[in-house]
Amino acid sequence: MAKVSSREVELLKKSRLTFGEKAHLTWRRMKENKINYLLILPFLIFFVLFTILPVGASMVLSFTRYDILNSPEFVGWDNYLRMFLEDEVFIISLKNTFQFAIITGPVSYLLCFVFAWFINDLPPIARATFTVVFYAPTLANIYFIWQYIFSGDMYGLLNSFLLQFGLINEPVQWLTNTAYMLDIVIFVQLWCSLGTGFLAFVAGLQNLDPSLAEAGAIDGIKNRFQELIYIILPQMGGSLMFGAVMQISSAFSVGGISAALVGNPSVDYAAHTLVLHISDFGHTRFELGYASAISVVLFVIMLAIKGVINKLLKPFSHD
Amino acid sequence: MSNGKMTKLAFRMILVLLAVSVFVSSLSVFVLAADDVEAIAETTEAVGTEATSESEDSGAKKNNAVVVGGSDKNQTESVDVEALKNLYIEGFERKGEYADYFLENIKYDKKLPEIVIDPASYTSTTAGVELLGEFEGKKNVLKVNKNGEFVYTVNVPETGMYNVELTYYALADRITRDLEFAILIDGKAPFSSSESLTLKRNWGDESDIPSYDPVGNELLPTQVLTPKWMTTDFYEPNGNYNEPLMYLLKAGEHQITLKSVSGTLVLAQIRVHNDGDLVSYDDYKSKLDAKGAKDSTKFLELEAEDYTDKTDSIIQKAYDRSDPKVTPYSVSKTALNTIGGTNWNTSLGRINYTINVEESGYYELSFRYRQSFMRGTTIYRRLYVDNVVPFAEADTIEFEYGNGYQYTVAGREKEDGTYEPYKIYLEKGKHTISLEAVIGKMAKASRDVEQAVYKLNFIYRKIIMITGTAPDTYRDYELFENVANLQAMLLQISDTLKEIKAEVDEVSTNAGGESEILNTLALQVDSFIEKPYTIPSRLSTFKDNISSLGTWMINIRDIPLQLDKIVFAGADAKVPNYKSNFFEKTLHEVRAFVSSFIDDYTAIGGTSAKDERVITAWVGTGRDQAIALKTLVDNYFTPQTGIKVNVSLVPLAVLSKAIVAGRGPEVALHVSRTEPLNLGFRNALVNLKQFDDYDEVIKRFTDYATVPYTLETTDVNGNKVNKAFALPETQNFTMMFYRTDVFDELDIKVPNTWDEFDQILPVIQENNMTVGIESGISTNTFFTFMMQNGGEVYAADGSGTMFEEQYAVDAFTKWTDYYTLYDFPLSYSWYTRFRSGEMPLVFEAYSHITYLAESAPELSGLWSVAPIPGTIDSTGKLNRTEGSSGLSGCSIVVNKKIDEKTRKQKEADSWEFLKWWTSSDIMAEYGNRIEMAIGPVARYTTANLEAFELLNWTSDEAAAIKKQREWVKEIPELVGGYYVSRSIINAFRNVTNNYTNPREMLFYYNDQINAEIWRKRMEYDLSVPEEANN
Repeated sequence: MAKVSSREVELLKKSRLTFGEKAHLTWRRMKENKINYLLILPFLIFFVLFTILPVGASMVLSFTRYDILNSPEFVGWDNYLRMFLEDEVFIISLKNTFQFAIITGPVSYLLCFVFAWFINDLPPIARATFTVVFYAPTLANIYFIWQYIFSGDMYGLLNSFLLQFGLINEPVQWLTNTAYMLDIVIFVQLWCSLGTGFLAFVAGLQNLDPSLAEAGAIDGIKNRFQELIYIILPQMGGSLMFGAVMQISSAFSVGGISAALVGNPSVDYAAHTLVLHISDFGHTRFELGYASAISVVLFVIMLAIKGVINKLLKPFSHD
Repeated sequence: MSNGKMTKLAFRMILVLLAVSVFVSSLSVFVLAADDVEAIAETTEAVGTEATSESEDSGAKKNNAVVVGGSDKNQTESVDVEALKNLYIEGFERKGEYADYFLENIKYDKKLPEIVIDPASYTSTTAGVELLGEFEGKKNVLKVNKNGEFVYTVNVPETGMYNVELTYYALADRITRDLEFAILIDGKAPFSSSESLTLKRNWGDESDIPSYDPVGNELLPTQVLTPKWMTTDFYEPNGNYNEPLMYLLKAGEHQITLKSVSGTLVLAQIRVHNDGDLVSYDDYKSKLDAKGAKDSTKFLELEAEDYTDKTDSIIQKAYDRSDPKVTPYSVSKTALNTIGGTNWNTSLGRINYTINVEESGYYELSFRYRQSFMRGTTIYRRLYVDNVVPFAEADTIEFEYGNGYQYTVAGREKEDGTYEPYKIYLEKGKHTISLEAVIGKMAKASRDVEQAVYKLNFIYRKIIMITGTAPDTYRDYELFENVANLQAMLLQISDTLKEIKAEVDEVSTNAGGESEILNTLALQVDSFIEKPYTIPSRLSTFKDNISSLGTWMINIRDIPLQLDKIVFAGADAKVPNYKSNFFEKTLHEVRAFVSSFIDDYTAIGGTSAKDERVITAWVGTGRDQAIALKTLVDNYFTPQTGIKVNVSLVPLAVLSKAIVAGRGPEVALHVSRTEPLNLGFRNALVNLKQFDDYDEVIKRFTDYATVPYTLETTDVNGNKVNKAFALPETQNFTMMFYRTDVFDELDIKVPNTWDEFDQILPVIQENNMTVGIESGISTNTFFTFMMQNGGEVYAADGSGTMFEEQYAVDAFTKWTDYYTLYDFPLSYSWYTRFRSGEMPLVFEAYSHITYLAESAPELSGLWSVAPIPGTIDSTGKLNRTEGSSGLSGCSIVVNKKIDEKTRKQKEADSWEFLKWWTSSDIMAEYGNRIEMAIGPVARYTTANLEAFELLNWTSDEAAAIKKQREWVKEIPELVGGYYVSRSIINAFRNVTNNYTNPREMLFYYNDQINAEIWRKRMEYDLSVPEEANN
């Protein structure tokens, strides 16, 4: 271990440090723990290269006009001004995104937890099977079958069913009529939203301390719901937090299912989300600067939401 | 405690099970195609009624009458079932087909004296026939040009069914498809296919020496026509008969007219004959035994890919790396070690081999083959020895289904259960052995099922004419009263289906699941007969079952076979073990796995060194396309110009990113329609108008084909901008497909104008049928109407739309009216509805002609294509303009990362390449190669006018397509044009979903479109109209 110099000893005693002094101490600590830094280095390199840099780059690009093929041109706050003042579609997609997130985020979060809790007591093989069954829709992206169910053809599954029972007289254009589109996309989104959060809960429930449940039973826990509230949830802070971040942030970045079912852009942008708006500008219109600006806004929204989740889940979290 | 816990556990299990069952059922139900689900439901339903219907049947046999449930009135009425079964129903049977003709006249079939006709002895002729003194070793032959027609007077000694045999020499032509031929007897075609007969050509490899790419993969040899004298009878073109076509000739004098519809050939002999049945194998053997024929002792092994010649260019050598005993063997490289496979799958495809027999005697013939393509089906081949089928059994050599490679000795199962190989006698010396694809023992089933599909669709159509396609299930339509002869039709078709099933079961030992659809349908039809009031509610499953039957019908005609070796073995010859054992297979798999890390399977051909004149071309479609291109480049382009081309298979979505990174290609092929302009006005593509001969080159295409690639406008300073960024490769456009039989039935004519179209609409719709003018909503129909109203879609300089003009409003209203007033379906599957006839008129891309011909054989001759309707303008002229957007093209990419001089050189080379690539010969050869690789369905929709003539379209098809093409106008692409289609479709949906005012909607969205276009144009310093600045 490196020798501690007298200056450092003095610094450690001080209550207020200048920036230079702080930096000196940090550097000193890093040197001491260099093995640890070496161990996280591989991840750090990739994280910086593929996450930090692109995020930084898109923040810079959001102040430019950039069409991919020609070099970017600085335009100041123009993109942001246009987004909030001129672009009606942005407002629609913002509204849709929130609608999506508010419905699918919490509902799918709850569903994840409830299903994980349900299957927790099953024997291992059955549990594994059900985990796969629940997770399959997310895994295999089989939401395409919904396209067939909601087909606007009179022989589409839902239409032919309703026609047969005389509930409608002519086929309904489920996927191109603005009245139904958003609801259908939200529904399908929910159907395949048992994602990573669900897996985290399954794992989290497995790691509970059984002695606590027994102690609780002795101390007068009357039913499984009491057990859930007083014993299980407090132990699961980590998984709950992780699940919430995954579920809700993924709820904000929906778009794939919408694009696959109702197309991008959808009729009258009725199921347009921020992610789709970004891809519309980035891919179709070759306006990367503007697309970056939207993604920065989306990034900020997600950060803010994460803060809110943190606050909400504070009671369950021990660390 | 434990008891309570158990209850809780049980409760939770129930909850979980509930949730799971919801999930699982949703999963399974939706993953299975709905037809399957419904089919399953139908089967169970039908099986349930089986018992009753059978007892009913036996009852019917006893007193020859059956009680038919008079649905609501409870009235009973006796019907003579036998009489109904024999009732002739107008329109139910397809008339004029060979099948009919054959059945009517089969009683005349017997051995007859032959009549040999000297081709020069024709009695009358049109131009296009010419006598040649000598040609390729034959004297006094007749050269017949395209459309050459000539008549012979023949004195027939005896009434009977005669085959017509030609000895002909097909002249090599620029057009390489089979020759089309027609035979008329006394001026009339006795059956419809007699006017569209085909004669095969002879194909071979250009060179016997294999060629390899730099990596060591063997390249497919180039196919060339190798014309020779060929002698053959005529066969039914749909491949449904193993036997040649027979013509009834009564004793006396007859006029036989021969006509070459396409292609040029030389005729040496015409023989009208009936040689009677072939000798059976037993007679063949005993006759030879009597002559003292002995078993041979020799052994002869032939690699199946070493053929001499063949009848189709599409039958090609193939590589197979899946088996360790395929020879020549290569674990990772392409070694062409087999022949056929899925490309040797249509009737009459024939491969000839030349063998040298060292010792006279009997040989047993065996094959190493693969037939893992058609599950549970036996595939047949006909064997010729020196162009003669030696005995009857050689007509149908069997190749059973199995996984991987199999080894079989041609032979038959004897009555005592032992297997007897055929002994084929071969004299010492050279022989020609040929194998020909035949449908074999499935022929009758295939013919019958074709009739059955036609009839079932007929019944379906008759029913929906009364009930509509979405019947009210609670209403009794009294179908037996309202649909003429429905009961008779159902009784007849039920019998037919059962007969076919029995036939199929007899022929194939392991037909199993696939033919089960026959039973399902028969049971369904039986229960229709018994409970006619249930028909409306089960109509959609009926329709699904019919289309499954149609699929099965196409499957049994698909007769692929992949051959590795042909072996001739004498009696005591030692035959090596051709089956690979477990260890050989394992070793093979391991080696294949290891080499997958070493070999690069993605490179198409080789790549070239950096210092040469070399350009890179990206192909965005598929591997077959890339290989075809690479072969053409190596064969023609590089030798001619010295420019090498690296071909890579890259999805073109990454093109713009690759360009930014400076890693783009020099040339991009198969680029989608919108891309060139999008990249072009952002200076990523080379302006092709800078090349002097641009104007010359674009004469290869229609006048409008280059429109979407052209930017002709002015910039903000008023300077002219005139650029083009791509050359067209393919051009597809919409045509009108219609069912001739339904049109005849309804007594309506094919509409030439939209007014006529509007007049026939009520007739079609009154009969509960519909019309489909676009299977996916796109702006093309709107633009078509606009242009037929005499206007343009966009302002001449591309700076805005013309949608505020009155003609645009009229066009938009007309378009949306078809959906709001006439209730056209917004979304449909054109193919199934056209096939069943419920949509007898559809507008579809012309490339679907081949698809329909291939996949709906029962409709052959019952549909046709015509140009889309037009509008009569104020001067009385018919304007049939079609707004189209079916282009793809090729572009040159700008590379900013290299110095000026190299760039100029590369661009010039690339331009050379584009010119070569879009030239007619290359486009045609490429198109033909693609068709060889993938089949007729992939017929190339070339934009090159001359190349189009060289593709395999029949004369009639080509004429119809060209008629439409004259009127096709490609819609221009605009800067910011992506906003047009989305906004117009928004407007359209608003009108059709919410019944809003079309004019208002069009204007509302038009403002948005123009705003976006102006914004984009300003961004790129292009001129905008005055109003844009306000």
